Amino acid sequence: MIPNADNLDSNELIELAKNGQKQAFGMLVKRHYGTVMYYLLGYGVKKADAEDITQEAFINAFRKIDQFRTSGSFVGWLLRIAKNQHIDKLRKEKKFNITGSELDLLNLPDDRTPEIQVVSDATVDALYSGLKPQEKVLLDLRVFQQMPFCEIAEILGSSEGNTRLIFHRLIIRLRKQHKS
Amino acid sequence: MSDVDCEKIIDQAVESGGTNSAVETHAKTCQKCASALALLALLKTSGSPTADIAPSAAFIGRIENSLTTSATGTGLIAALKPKILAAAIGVALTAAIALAVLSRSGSSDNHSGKTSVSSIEGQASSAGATDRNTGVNMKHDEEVSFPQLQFPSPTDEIK
Repeated sequence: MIPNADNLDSNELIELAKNGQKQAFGMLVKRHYGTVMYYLLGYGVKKADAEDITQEAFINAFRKIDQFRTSGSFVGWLLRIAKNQHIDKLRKEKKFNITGSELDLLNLPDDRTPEIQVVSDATVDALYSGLKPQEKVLLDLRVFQQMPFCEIAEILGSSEGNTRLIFHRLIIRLRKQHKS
Repeated sequence: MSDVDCEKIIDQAVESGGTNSAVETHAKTCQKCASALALLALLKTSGSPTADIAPSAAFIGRIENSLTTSATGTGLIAALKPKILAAAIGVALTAAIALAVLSRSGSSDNHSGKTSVSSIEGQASSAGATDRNTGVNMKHDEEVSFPQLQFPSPTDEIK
């Protein structure tokens, strides 16, 4: 039993998880579940599939946690695992046809199902309700994880300049909504 | 100030996790940045936009089960590792010794085969020679043990 696991930061939880503390890893799962789910939903993955991929990503992350270096970003590492998991799934289903061209964040479709829209719109505050999954991930990685644009760009499969542009446009949009 | 400068100010505020003197100074003169910084502060207090979906109890249960299996498997492998290593070393040593013995016995068979044949031949020839000299065949030891009869020689009468 870990006392005050809620107050521990990610690196402390990772160290405990490396020592086999499943409870610490469970806390990491709770913290980053939404980011991984929205990341996958942003790629147009259906909710049930996204949940399966998220589960596999977390299990793989736990198996490989010794390979993770705390100098890097845990959530970035986790999202890379989820992305590879997603690509493997597409390959198995023979649906993988991305030929290395970068995904354009500006043209990402809003692939949220009506079910997810209802659930998320009911729970998030007014500012977040209109965001696309990829925008939520971008905001989370930049503002909450304080990840540099180069790393976010790599994770989202875009260029650094494009990612920076999208982020600042998003901030302007939210600022206007907040003001109004 | 240009939009690029405002973006730099926002980036600084995000990366520093709050405001610093340069950001504060700029915010006093730029209404847009001031409201953007207020927005960021609000976002920070309200939490990440990805936190609105939480894992279900069933999801957590599945993960925990997998972690237990994974940890057990890893623990079992870790526990068996020294034994497997010792067994592998044992097998390798046995194989090496067996190979060495086989190769040695093979070479000594050739060598001793030749020796035994020649020695048997030698013994047979020496035995044959002995037999030819004594006029008897075999059973030399038994004959030696019997008393020798002394018959008078034909020349004794002449004496």
